[in-house]
Amino acid sequence: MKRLLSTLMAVCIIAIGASASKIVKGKVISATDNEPLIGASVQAIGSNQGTGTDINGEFTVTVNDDIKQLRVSYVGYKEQIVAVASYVTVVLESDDLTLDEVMVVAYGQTKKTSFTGSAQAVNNKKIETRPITSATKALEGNVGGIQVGGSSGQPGAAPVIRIRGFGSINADNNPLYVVDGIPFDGSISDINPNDIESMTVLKDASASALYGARGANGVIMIQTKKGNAGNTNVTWRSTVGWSNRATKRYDNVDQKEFVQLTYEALRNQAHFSNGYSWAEAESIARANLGKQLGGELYNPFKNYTWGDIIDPATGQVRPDAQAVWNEDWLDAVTRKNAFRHEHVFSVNGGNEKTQYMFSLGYLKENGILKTTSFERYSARANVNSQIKDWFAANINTSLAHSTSNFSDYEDTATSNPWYTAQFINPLFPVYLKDAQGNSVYDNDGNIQYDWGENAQRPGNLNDFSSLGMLLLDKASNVRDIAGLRTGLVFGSDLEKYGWRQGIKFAVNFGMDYNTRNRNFYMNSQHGNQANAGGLLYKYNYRTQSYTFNQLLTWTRTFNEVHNIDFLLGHEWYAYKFNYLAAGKTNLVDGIMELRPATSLQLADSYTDNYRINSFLSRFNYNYDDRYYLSASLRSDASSRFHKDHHTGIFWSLGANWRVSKEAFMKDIDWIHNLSVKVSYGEQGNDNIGSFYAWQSLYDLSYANGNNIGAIIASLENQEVSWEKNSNLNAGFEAALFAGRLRIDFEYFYKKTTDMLLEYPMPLSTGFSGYWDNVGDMRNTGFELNIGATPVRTADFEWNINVMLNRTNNKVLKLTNESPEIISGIRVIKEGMPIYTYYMSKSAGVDPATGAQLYWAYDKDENGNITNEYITSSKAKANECKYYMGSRIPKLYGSIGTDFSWKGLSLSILTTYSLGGKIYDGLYESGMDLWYMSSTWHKNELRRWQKPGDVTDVPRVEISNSPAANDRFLIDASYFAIKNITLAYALPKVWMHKIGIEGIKVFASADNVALFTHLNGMDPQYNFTGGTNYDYSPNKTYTIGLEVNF
Amino acid sequence: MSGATLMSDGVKALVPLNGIYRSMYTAGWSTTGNTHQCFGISAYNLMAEVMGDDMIMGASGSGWFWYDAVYDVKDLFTRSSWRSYDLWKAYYTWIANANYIIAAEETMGGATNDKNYAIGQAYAIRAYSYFMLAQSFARTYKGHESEKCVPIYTEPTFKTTTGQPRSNVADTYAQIDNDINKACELLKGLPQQNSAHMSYAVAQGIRARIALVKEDWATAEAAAEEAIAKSGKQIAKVDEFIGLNDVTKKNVMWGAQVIADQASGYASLFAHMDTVASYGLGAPKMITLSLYNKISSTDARKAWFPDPASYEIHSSFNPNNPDYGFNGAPLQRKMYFSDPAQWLGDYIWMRVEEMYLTAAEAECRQGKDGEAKEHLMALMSQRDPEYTCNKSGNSLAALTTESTGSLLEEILLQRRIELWGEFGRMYDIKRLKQGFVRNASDGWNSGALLRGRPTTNPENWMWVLTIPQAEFDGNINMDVSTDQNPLDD
Repeated sequence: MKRLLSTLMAVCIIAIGASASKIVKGKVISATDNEPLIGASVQAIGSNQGTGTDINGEFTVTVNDDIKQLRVSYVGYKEQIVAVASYVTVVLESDDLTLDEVMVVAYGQTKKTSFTGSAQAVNNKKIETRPITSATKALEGNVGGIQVGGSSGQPGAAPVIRIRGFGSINADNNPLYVVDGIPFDGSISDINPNDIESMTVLKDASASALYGARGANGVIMIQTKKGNAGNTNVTWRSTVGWSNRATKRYDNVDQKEFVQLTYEALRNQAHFSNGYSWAEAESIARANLGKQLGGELYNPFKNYTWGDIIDPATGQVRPDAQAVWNEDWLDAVTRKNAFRHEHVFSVNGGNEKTQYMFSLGYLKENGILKTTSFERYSARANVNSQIKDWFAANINTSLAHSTSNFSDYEDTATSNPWYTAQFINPLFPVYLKDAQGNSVYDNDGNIQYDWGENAQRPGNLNDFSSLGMLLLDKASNVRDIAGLRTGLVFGSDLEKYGWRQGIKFAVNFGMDYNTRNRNFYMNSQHGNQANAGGLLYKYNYRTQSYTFNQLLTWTRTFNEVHNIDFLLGHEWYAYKFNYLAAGKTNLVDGIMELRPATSLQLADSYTDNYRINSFLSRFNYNYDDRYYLSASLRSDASSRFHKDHHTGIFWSLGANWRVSKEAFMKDIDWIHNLSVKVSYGEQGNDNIGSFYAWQSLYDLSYANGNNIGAIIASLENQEVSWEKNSNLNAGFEAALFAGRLRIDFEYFYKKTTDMLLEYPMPLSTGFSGYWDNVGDMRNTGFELNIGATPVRTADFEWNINVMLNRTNNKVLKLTNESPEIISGIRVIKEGMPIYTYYMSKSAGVDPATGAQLYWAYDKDENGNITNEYITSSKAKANECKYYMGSRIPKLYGSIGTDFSWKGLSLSILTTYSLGGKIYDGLYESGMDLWYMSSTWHKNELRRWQKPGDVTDVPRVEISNSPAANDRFLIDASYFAIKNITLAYALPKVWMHKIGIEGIKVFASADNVALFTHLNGMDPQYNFTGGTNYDYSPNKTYTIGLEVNF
Repeated sequence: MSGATLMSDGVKALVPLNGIYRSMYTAGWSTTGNTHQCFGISAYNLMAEVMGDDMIMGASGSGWFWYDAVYDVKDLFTRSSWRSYDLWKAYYTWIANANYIIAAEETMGGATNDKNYAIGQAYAIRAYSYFMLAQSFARTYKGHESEKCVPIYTEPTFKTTTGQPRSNVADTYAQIDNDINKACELLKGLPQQNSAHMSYAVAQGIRARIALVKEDWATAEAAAEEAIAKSGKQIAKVDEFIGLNDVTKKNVMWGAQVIADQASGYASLFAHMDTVASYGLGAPKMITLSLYNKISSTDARKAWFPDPASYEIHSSFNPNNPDYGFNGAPLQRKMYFSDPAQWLGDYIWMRVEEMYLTAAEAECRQGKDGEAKEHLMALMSQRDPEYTCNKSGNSLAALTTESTGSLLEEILLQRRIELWGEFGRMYDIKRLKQGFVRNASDGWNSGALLRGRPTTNPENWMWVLTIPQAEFDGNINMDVSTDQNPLDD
């Protein structure tokens, strides 16, 4: 009977369940202004029933009876889950008011408001729609206190980042990269930016001391996306884009101006160097012009010979000279509108117990330099599972394969197209010309390049064509990357576990494996290896790194106000690098393999090992979300140092007072949040470039024929150890007027002591130095971040964000032997910023002779300058150098703004830098010509021409450069429009009708414009203030489509 | 590898010795910038050639060696990629490496001959290095004995080693003499195991070079004769050592055999010299017209500067071509790759012919004209069947372009021709204390005439290099304001 009854009841329930549904009504309003939100999405959790709000913010939705919760969401607002009731009022908070943003920090997570240290996160919204291949490019302008350099436009190149100045002189200044909690030894460009949930930059000791010996330069933590419980969300995003160069070109002279300057150079040489009279010099110059310019072969002016082109009456190029060719080498090697396309597919879902995310990505990016490109396939799978309420496990694997084609030449290597094509003598044609100046074609009708064979071309470009070499030579990197992050967590936060509540034990294992196969091929037809029948080098670089840690944590709240969080752990890190290379000459054409080649040029291999063993602990205490204290301690033992000196202790202390939570602040309602924080601690830096720094070793790579040979390579110093970095951070964070105005301010004082320096030995001892801990350096500065929301209505929102940063650097102490280290035009000197310029000072141009004048001085016994005077002596100028400032800017940062109106959003990010100087060596080479294969900068037209001329540019000379002087120090200030993105999310109500979660279309422009003091100069080439012949940064326009279903 | 193992016996000690020799022909280890102009001893010899009066560098090319040729490197002493740093670093690295070996003299085990062979060479290397430093960073020995020269170290370097002050010229040469005599003493009777090794005969050859600079003519004569006698080498005919790229030839006393995977490719001596390989055309090396014209038409050495039509070279490099320029001064074809496809060519650092010329000069200086002529004729009979010499006396004109007609000048003329391009002409000009002039009529291009520079005054400072800044940065006993050589000419 009982059984019958229950069966009956069950039948009834099923019958009702199958048919029963209920109507839920409600209203969605904004917390900011209590205005209704139109078009907000209301979605039943557990079914696909849902609707949007109407013009009054109201909704009516019919849901199954068993539905318990609704998810309410609106663009720009924090999503809410509410219980089903007959009438619900949902108050959505703006995203910007989400002050309790959760940030991933060292070995855990924290709420931004409760954090005692300095850390700043950038979430995926700033990354996804931008055409960036290396995610860290998105940090620029979005994180305070960082400087971004190395702006190479080579597809796949990653930027170089400095966090809060320069911690070291000789040791590495790069931050530590941590991906999903494990230090990462790959290339950032191997990570698909679309897989990234957020990036957190840890800047002070409180944030990064837990990374001990590797934390001194700051830490960039990258978190990949994880699965979410709930509906499975499938995202497809495709973007296509087109790139062109972002920096302007240098303004160089045209053909006639080039001839004119060459003539004057010859005249000046004959007159000033070789002692001929002015008239004699003019006629010698006219006579020698042809030889100087490579004979009539390179004369585009077919109506005059070189001997006649200068009018003897005026000393000028004849105005009616007509060029039959004028070909631009840089245009010839440039790929216009280089195409880029990227496709990402990801699935995200799961239930309460298990969540997963997996993604596939494909990217192909052509470079603006012909033949260069980057292609990447990437895949990632991320699974988290709460298997029991006391046991969870996670695994995150990633695979990537990328191929990068590039031009493997740097600096002034002749084959570097950025050197040759950019500054080529304008008389040189790209294509071979006959005597009449017409292009020459081969029998198959192919246009021929002008190679300048047999040294017929003046200057240093013998048998060379930028375009030809680019097409014939090959260089590529093929990388295969595998990453694994896996962990087990035992323990629970549930109350039922009594005293064990909040105690967790986690073991994590991470592995990064990457192999890079590099090919370097120099062709057999032209250039250096033509006689050798071509040259092919193959390199294999294999890096493996493992991190294994065990972490015990205890997180509890007592009496509702005492919150504690305790961590104790052990970590072990191992790194192994294998190098293998071989090369041969005399190849079989078309076969990019060594086997058929005949002559061995290179066969080499070696292995590097590196290990760190660490213990770590942290204690966080928080009283009633008002007072926060944190302390951390880590000990690292690094294999880089002698066993007596390999262990270092690193620590931090931090406090945060959330003033706005105090009772006395309760009535001040325009202050939404106010907190004050301070931290201090000590971190380390062991990255000194050598894994074996303390040892005295013979380098065995010096075989003499068939006899083993070695020369001594290093001096022993058992005492060498960590560089220590003590770090004070103080600041406040305020959100005012209901979060409409947000101010973050931080001041930092970082002092490096026991600085790792290659202690300079007298070169005469046979060594330039040995690694030692000497010297102190200081970085101080502030970061001010102001965010404002001038307008916020139901439909429209306007945000402005301004960042102001300043970083000062000062070298406090060097060695006992010498308070300064001079290197070329820069000096590292006690009491001055690192890389201070030290060079001759221009005193203008002598109106009588056109000679460069310099300031010079005498010194008394104490080394003080006593008598300053002007001289034309280059030798004197080189003896009398001046300190002339450094690259370090006075102020830098960003200004960003975004607008959103309904589904439409527009964001603009600009960056700026004020102050600092750059010694533009490229400009200098355009003003002091060394080779006849190069050209002059337009500013050379201001040169001195005849006695009496008053100008700032000396008379023209070739291969006779003045002493390096401040004429070539250019103001480094710049303003850049980094990105403009316009996005439109199609109304959800429409989407739901066609069964799609959402469609977003967007357009983005990256590196839109750059304003500098000198066209062509890349102000972000490096941090020391140099420029070089390097891949121009790209300006990229993209459009994209994202579909969620 | 650790030093203790390497110094344990004489055979093992050959490892650090071979390392030193390898670095004497390895490109780019002394500095990482301008690799193409620092490939060891041959680079420094080429540098001293282009600084002189007999070898024209026809164009700046990529700039390598050009700034030596036009004396525009002294002010670059703060940069690690230029000559000051390069030379200083290279010679002192060899000294330091030799010092570790010499320090093991007492403790080194193994057979006495093996040990003497190792230690003796270390002394020879040290003597040679200090000798080259003294010639580069100070004015010549004679008349400048009390001037500042270079710091001296005879102990191995440790991190506690302090920088030494500049010794004077006399003290430096005293150290050099001491080392080379010790080397000769230890190496006597021991055969050369490898062409690059500084064996007994090579040490005597170096001793002869040192004595020439010191104007110690008797020692120069004796050392040169001993070197000739004990080297077992003979004067070779011109066609017996074409290309100057093979150390197995019968006249080669000292040189490095370059094997394929140890060749330094484009950054090598022959890349600069060989006009068939590409760079040698971009920065061609020519003999001055006046020196060329002094080579008798019956002299086999005329073949070193042949009619371009006789070998594979572009017609624009034919001196008869109106576009050729250089006033017709011919391109060199004395030194070239043995195999350009593999960048092969041995580096030759001492030929026995030099010893004959040295002996001749030393004898002439001592008034022994008869013996001098014998040595001269021993060489010239292998060069020019028509050659005769009736000159006498040892007067010397003030300028290398002038002549008093003496026997000494005749010997020096034959030396200039014989050793053209390989010895380092500047080292001779300095010790002879002659001035020189570069004339456009001789083929010099206008950018390299050195007008307005004091080349005619042998007391000038333009031939003395500046000391690199890196020395002052680490040396508490050297101050740039008082210890730097004049930057002016």
